[in-house]
Amino acid sequence: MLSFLWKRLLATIPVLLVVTAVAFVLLRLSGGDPAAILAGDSGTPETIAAIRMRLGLDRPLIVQFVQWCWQLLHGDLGNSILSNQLVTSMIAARVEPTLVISLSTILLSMLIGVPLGVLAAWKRGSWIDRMTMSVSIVGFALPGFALGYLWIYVFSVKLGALPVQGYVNLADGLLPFLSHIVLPTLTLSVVQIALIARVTRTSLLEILSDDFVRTARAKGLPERIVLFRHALKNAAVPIASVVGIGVAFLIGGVIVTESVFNLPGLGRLTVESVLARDYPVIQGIIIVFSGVYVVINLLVDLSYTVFDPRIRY
Amino acid sequence: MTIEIATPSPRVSPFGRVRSLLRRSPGITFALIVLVLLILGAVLAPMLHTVDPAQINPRLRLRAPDARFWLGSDALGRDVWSRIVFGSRISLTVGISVAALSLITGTLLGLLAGMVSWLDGVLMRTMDGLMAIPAILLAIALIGSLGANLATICFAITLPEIPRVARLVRSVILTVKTEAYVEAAISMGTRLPGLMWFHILPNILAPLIVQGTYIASSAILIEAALSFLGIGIADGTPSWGNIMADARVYFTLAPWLMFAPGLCIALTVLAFNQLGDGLRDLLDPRLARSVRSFS
Amino acid sequence: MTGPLLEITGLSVRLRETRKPVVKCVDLSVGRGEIVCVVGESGSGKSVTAFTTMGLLPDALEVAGGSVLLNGEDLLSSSAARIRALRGRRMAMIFQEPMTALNPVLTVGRQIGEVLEWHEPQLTKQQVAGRVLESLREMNLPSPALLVDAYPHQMSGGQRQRVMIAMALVLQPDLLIADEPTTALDVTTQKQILVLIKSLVKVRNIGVLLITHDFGVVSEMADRVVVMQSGAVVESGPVAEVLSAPRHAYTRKLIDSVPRGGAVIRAPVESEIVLEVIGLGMTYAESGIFSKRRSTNALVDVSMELRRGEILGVVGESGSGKSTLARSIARLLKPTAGSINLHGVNIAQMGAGALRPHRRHVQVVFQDPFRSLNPRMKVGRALIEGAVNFGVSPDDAAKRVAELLAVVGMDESAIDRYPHEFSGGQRQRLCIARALASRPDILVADEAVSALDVSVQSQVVTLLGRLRDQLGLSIIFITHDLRLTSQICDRLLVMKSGEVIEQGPTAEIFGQPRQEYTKMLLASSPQFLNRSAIS
Repeated sequence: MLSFLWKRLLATIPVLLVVTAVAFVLLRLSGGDPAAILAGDSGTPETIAAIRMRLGLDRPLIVQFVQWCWQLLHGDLGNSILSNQLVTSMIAARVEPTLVISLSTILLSMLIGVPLGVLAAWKRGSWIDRMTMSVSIVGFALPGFALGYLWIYVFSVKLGALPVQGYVNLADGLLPFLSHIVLPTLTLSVVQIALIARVTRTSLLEILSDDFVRTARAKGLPERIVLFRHALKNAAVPIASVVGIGVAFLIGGVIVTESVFNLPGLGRLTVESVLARDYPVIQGIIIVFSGVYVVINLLVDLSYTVFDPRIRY
Repeated sequence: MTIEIATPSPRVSPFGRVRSLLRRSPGITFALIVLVLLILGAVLAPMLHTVDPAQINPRLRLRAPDARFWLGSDALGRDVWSRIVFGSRISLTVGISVAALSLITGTLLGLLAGMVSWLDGVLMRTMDGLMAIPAILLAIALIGSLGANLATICFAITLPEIPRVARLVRSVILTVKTEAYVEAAISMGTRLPGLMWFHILPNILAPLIVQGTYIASSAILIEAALSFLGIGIADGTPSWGNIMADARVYFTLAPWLMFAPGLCIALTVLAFNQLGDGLRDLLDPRLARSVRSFS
Repeated sequence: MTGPLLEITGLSVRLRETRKPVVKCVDLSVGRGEIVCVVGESGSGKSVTAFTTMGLLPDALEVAGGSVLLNGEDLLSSSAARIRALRGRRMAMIFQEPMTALNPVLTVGRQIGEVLEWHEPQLTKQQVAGRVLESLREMNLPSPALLVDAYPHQMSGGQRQRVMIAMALVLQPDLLIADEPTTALDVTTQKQILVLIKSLVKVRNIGVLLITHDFGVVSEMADRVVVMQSGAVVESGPVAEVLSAPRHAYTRKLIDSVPRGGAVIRAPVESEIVLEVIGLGMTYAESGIFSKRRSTNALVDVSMELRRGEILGVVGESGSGKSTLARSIARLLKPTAGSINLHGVNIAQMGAGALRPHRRHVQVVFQDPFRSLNPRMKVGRALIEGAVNFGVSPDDAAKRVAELLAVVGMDESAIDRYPHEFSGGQRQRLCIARALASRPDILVADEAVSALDVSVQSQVVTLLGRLRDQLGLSIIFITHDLRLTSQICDRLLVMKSGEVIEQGPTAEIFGQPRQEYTKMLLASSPQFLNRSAIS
């Protein structure tokens, strides 16, 4: 188990290295002189020369890359071109809304997606199965931002029940806090629910045709025990892995959704920095988001050993 | 216990086969109708009650839908119907070219990884790394660096899709490689190109086609999101995403500006997804496992 | 209690959608203390009959008529809840593949325990644990106290099937339905399981409905036999009667296709040696940066020779290394030691390029006929591939295809068809034809008939014998079923754990086996009991 953890941790190194390399290359792709770009509009020849010195731009690319990785290892993501603030503190300041709506989305979509998938598989071919599958098909096709505006139109414009946009801290009261995260969460959850329900249904259907389910029935066990003890336990691994994959969709969704609801989170920061060509911030965000994705999928892999005794690394 | 349900089907003409196929798969029928209409619309755009989509008419701003403006007019008085019809060109171009580009590149990389064992490790770790960056984020960052035009947008959306194709191709190859018929071919002295061409590629084709439709749909969604965020196609060329971006400020005044293009995106994506699902079930039921039912 | 334990009358089952009958008007009965064997090939409806009894029909099937009485109670008209209560308590079932029949993520103790918990809720936890332990002990399982917490994947195939039986019998049901319970097991394990079932019938006085395709198993186990063919019963009666005087032609065909013990004595083959294997070794090394090097010896110092026109049988149980030997000779694997002299040239360590011209001489036929042919390649194309690779012009190769098909007893119309249009036996013939296309000297048949029905099996074995006689082909016939070798093999090679433990002329090994293991293999193979004793 420990050796597996060790191995799995080591395996993330090349992944993170590729992520870092992509982030590193981005600045060089733009074609301009990186030092001039980093100096910004107000850059004087002196500041540009200073930046060039600091980044070692006169040295070979590989040396620059190693140097940059070294800085990253020390938690140094550089400074913003626009505000000259530390990228790390900029990210830290914007992390809360993103974290809140991501967690609430994962929670909500598990709570709805898994039971829905179980129900659909159990009552295969019934109206509830067809409804679940139709909703999931539509859920995959809807662009997140259109969906967001649909919610705004129904709940805020027509019903006037929820605020249109913005974010309120939990410190400013539970109700305002919740009312501001309901619609973003709903917007993000639709795809996630579709994803989880579909995978739960597919893997359960496959498992329900397995021999050991037949054995369980031959023992005279009632359907609910067959379903929950025998089948669902075997479906835990595919469900966990789809949650891991879903994180990638979630991060993509967050960027768009924050823009729709005007939430001051990392997604908005991403868009702002791209529009302003604030490369250090973009690089930092890529590293942070990808790091989160890698860590979550690491946890998902570890969870397999809990769900399936055959998996002993 | 095995139950033979399939009875050998009598040979029928190709035309009859297509007809029975469409009857068996309503999803594919729906998809084909939508996609044919879309492609016709994109090609024949100038003849479909359209005006120049960029034509500004400040006196006729934010009109509700009527006989002249089928879908109303936007904040600059431009005809939304015309903008949507012309905008379909962007979505279709992006969807189809991203699917083609990522299939070609991904298949090549997957073949290399699956057949050349010393390349496998390096290639697959690189693919893992690329997959760790969420697709939209990578696309946004790439466009941020390269600038936004149709070519860079297609490239930026293609890059994150390549690892998915490569991994699919590689995994199918690794399975097919151990099949007895491939071993039989090896012992019959078949060389590597022959193995690839006659034994491996035909078995990869079906999952690839299916994957291609899913990639097209996800590319259309990502392009729309980029335009919506103001990072994609500039306002001068209409695209479904930037029509919606323009509509944001006037959302409470003129919600139809938002919902008409939104519906178009959803329908197109739905059509591609249905085509993929239908083909997947049709080509080979076993595929359901090798191609993810999403992505 | 009067009347039989299980009585099936006029049972018909059909496909729900097309109403095509699958089981037609079947009558059979099982009494207490009796083993009734249902014999038939795939598609005979024997399993469907069993599943109908248990109320476990798949959704695609429905009962069209008849009755199934258990202790006089009609199961077909009982409610689902009643059937559930009877399952496990009055009737139980075990299946062919014990690995997949047990839930991989629950411990053995849990899986047996839940039967007790559900059917007898008044039992305390300790009582349940006690009875689980007791049931495992009764199946002669080693250290049952440890097994309780084990998962199925941690056990051997035979142990899993014992666990299945323990689970089926923990509530002392009256009827045990066993659906091909030993087909997936090695012969020696099969023997043990069959002996176990027989003793349980005696001790507990239960009735057993045993489904099998193997008349050898029938003659060892059955009190009565029911023979089924395409959904209908063609013959039934006491075992001695059916075996000694089969009335129906199909029964006769099935009985005749069971290879009988006692090998045919063949003149030793004296022609030139075409293949000589010396000191062959295959070691799989598993190495990692963080794990210690582990190595498994799949082959240890294997030597053998093969003469022109000779069939050499290679016999062994799973894990004996027989398939590794086959794949090494065909050079689908590169052995780690020793030499393989093909016509005097050592091909053991040759690289791909140097090897190619030699490949023509050795061709393989694999076990699974459904995976041996490229599903997307027409038969005609598959049959010319080998010849074309070795320099024959495509036109000449195409001309030979009809001839090849005739050799394996197939019609010319096969050329334009895809593999999925053929049955398992036909596909295996096509695979043989494909192997012959490059005019090899040596054919390696790696369990080539084990996936086939018995009657088809004997046809393919006969075909192989004919190919030797007509073409002077040398064949390495690899099998786990010793009985198959008796008719056609000139010599035998018995393997165990990667080593050759005995080799010699077939008749000699059948007659006077020298090694204990060979004796055990021979004794375990289900044979017709001395037929004169029956009649």
